[in-house]
Amino acid sequence: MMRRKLKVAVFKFASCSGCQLQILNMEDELLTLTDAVEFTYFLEASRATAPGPYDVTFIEGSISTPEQEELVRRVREESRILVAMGACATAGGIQALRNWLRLDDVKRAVYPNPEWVKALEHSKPVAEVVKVDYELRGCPVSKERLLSFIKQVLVGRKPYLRREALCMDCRRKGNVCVMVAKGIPCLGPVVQEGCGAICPTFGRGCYGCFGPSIDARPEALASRLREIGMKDRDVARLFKGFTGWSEKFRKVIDELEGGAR
Amino acid sequence: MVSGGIYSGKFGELRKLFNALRLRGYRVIAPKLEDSVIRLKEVTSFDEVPYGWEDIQAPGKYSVREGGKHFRHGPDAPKRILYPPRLELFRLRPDWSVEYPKERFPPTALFAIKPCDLASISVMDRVQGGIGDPYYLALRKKLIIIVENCVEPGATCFCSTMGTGPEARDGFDIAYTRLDDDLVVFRPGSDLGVELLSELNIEPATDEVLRKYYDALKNASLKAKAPFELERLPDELELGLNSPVFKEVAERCFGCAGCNMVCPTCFCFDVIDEPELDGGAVRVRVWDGCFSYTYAEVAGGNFRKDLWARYRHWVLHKFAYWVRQFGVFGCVGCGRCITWCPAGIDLRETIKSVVEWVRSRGGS
Amino acid sequence: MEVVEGRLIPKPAVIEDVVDEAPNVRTFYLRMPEGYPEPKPGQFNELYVMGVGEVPISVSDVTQEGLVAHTVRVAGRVTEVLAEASVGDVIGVRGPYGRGWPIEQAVGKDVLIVAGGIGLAPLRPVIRHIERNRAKYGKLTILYGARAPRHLLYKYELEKYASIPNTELLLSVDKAEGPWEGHVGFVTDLIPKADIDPERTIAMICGPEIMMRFTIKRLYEVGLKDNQIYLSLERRMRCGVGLCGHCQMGPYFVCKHGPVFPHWFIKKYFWVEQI
Repeated sequence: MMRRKLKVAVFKFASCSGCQLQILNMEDELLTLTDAVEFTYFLEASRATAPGPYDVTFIEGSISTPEQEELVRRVREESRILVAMGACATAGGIQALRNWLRLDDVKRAVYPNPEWVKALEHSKPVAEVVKVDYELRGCPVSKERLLSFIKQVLVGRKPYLRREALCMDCRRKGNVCVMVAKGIPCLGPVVQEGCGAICPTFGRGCYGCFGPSIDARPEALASRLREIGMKDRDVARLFKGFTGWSEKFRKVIDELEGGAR
Repeated sequence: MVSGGIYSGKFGELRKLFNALRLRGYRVIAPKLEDSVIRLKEVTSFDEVPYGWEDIQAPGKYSVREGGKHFRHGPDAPKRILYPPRLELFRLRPDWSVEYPKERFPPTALFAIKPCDLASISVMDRVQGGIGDPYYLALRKKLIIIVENCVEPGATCFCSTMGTGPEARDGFDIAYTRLDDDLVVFRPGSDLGVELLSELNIEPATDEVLRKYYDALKNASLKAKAPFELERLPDELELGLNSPVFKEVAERCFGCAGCNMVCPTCFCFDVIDEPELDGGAVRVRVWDGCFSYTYAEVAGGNFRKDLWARYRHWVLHKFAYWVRQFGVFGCVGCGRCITWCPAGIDLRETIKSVVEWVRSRGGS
Repeated sequence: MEVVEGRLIPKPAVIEDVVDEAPNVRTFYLRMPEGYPEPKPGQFNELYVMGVGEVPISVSDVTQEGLVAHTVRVAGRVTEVLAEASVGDVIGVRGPYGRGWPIEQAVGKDVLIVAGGIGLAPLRPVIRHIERNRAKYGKLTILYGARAPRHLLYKYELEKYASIPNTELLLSVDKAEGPWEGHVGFVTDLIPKADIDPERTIAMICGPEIMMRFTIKRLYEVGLKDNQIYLSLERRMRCGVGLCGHCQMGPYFVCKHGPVFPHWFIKKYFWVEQI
């Protein structure tokens, strides 16, 4: 079922390049992939670029400036399949923490000449600007998922990656629930699987970089966290971290912060 | 098969038994303290078994302390060993020929597992065994079971209600009970069990020891009770299908499927087909659970799109449907789904409430 | 691992013919692998596309040459790829699975078929069977409805069903979209219009669950009882052999105990919301 080489592009917006690096980190797999895949636009890997259209475009980063809005619209037009890759592209990223503050205050706090900074009011996930076909979550994305995604596109199927709660994967892996055994707050019950449960494996709670799972119930988790003694403010902070701007988490955060005020 | 009498010996005889298993070449899987949790893992020395430790379990809470007399089962059930969470079934080459992974099935001894977990194996014998799961059967054939009866059930245990404990009735090779620091009672349950016990220094239990034994188990049995009875339970629960209780409890549920994962009998799996770059494919089986959103999803819709319906299905499956499907309850009363629920939801309370709802409507 | 053999392993089958039936619906005629048993009407197979996945599809015909037909609606990620397959392509199959329609119990009786949309596919082998064994059955009534005329399946042979001796065929569409002689409305509206003898009829229903529920209510009105009504259910039949759990409806594994059930048998669960 393999056809002609897949033309793949990787574009970077407001981000740290960590997700792109995951593509480069595929090392061994990348070599076998190059028979089937051609990276025609991937500045992190090569200065040589080719114009669109692209079969698959991976977008890293959130949309934070008017120029980025403009560019991502053009990229969308050039792409058959557009994939938002990573926490920034899918949920606005850690920089979306500024979305809860006044932009002018943030600019003044960071830059000596805030008037030079042209930024959008919010750090936005790609889907708030253009249609996104698939999301690969995480900070950074998982290279196993990336590879599986590419292979699935290659056989011509609509890529499918399970999107259930991380708990399932965590427990399959044989981890002990950190919330039950150690009383550590963990977002695992409402966060999408895919990372391999890295944090709980090392005895930490999940801080949610994969964003809400399919049918997530963060409001129920928030109540439980308060029940076991967390303050509203701390629960809100936990949700805010990496994917707080996702619709489901944002709602809970707003309720918690509204309640605190 | 012999139905053995009751014999007593000193604590040191347990060590001998453990060593005898190792000498016979068994991989011994036993409770083992790891990072403050009692796991079920391979152990190479008797000293790794956490005698002298105790766990404290409550809905959504678990801890251990040293100096306690009796440990119970931790989060890992025998299912993890006999029915692994992720199993590659086969690879298809581009020409459709089939390649199987090379599995090794070492003779395995489960040492010091609890009667509820023993019962879960007998449930799996009907489910995975009954349908001929080859991986399960290969390991099961070479399995030897040494069970430790529970004289101090935990706060989330209800084996007594489910009829699975605190004393193991059958299906084991050896059952033992620690009556005090240096008095252990042994009971063989198979020819192999008799053979292994022959190597120990044990005596038929005296009248005094027997009395102590029965008293201890009777006391334990009074503790491990749930606030419901099994009689008519499947029918009563089915009369409660429309009870608001499921919706009320599901408000607190995260739908994380953690209970499915720790349950010693939950058998559902998902099939994952992964393409290979050479044009072939791999088929993998992973544990799935009825709490997951996609569990009952088809291309045209989702038969249980609401969490309360998934919660209801799970409860009903364990306590009603399972009986109709396999002739036994799907629950062995181990309480793992209660202890290890991050939301702290107590299954026993749900069942009690549904039954009360049914009765209040004159449904029983 | 010999027990898995033949249970979860798809075997190659060759696509010998592809027929466009309706928008997004195609029928694939497969040359089955050696040793594949003849399916009974109402049974299904798991069809597999290499590396893509598997999907349960009812058998919609077995031709004189032994080709096994599957009528597929493009609805999910497997059927989407499958729909693009053409003559000569090889896909995987395993089956046949499940309990089919009560064609033995229906001998000597009238047979009433009520189908909605793609639901005609698993009932087509029943029509074939009755046609080939015409003397063994009483009156055959076929009530079939679809969204619009172009969504009706097997249009090239549908009218011919009416010429099977002692057969009544009534069609219905939700919207006519042009010249249309049949009924406009629900397929259940056809029940009072048809000539049904409640004393000697076996009803076989397949369609969306809501349509089947309405049909059952209408059949009660014309005097049919639960033990005369059979229906075929859809669920997520992942393994097909009662191992994986996904297709449960109440205590039943639809893949193994069904997909065809007598209504009295599942009535207790079938009407419960999100069972």
